[in-house]
Amino acid sequence: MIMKMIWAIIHYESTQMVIDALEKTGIHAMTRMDVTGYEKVRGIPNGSIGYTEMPKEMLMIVLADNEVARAVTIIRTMVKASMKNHFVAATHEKSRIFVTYVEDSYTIRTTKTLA
Amino acid sequence: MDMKKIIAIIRDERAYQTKTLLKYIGVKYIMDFHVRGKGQPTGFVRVPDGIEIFRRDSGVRLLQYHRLESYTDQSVPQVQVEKELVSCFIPKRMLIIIAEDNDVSSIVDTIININKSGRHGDGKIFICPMVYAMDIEDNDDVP
Repeated sequence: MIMKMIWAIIHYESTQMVIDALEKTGIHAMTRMDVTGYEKVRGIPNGSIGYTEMPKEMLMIVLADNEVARAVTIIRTMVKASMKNHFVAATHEKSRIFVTYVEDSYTIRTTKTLA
Repeated sequence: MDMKKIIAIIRDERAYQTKTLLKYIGVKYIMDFHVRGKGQPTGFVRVPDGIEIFRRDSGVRLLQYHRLESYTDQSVPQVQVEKELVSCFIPKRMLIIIAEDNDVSSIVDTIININKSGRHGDGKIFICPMVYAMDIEDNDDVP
């Protein structure tokens, strides 16, 4: 069974909704960390001074290959639903999802491979 | 020469020990992040009045049992409530190590030996492929 790793960079406002929705469908294990960054439009431009360090939250989820598509659709729908009322943040800074390969994975407690 | 990216999510209090021992076996570069993580719901119990109970061994016995009734009125019998297993975010450390293909097994063994306590929440290790890794200061071309 191939494992894959999802890095989702999402807004602070939508983090809790995404986590709750993932938990309801049985995806519990995840890691979150605070990040900053900007996109093509360079944050929120405000005259000569723009805000280029936009605070975001990054979720890291490792899943089996057949569950990745389901998790990605959940993240996308929940972020879109929660960012409806945040026009400025939603238009200037988009959320991103990256999916990468995982070759090997271990549980430290049992020294077993997950896959 | 293939490179691998090792992502280890370990306990907060074992990070210093892990990093010092990895230094002894020849790991030069470690990235260290303070993250919050959670795993499968085995350790925490949520009762309907919102009080969370920490359970050290998974599914065996309750070590600490905090109920509001026990502090306020002892005569009121405690009502048996349905318990729901949940998992909540706790502080973890994420170590990212870029290593050569031959060194991966020794690094993984070292991390497992130090961090293994036999209880839930010890962490996970993921090994990801890496296209190439280079020093910025060197003037080599991109392979």
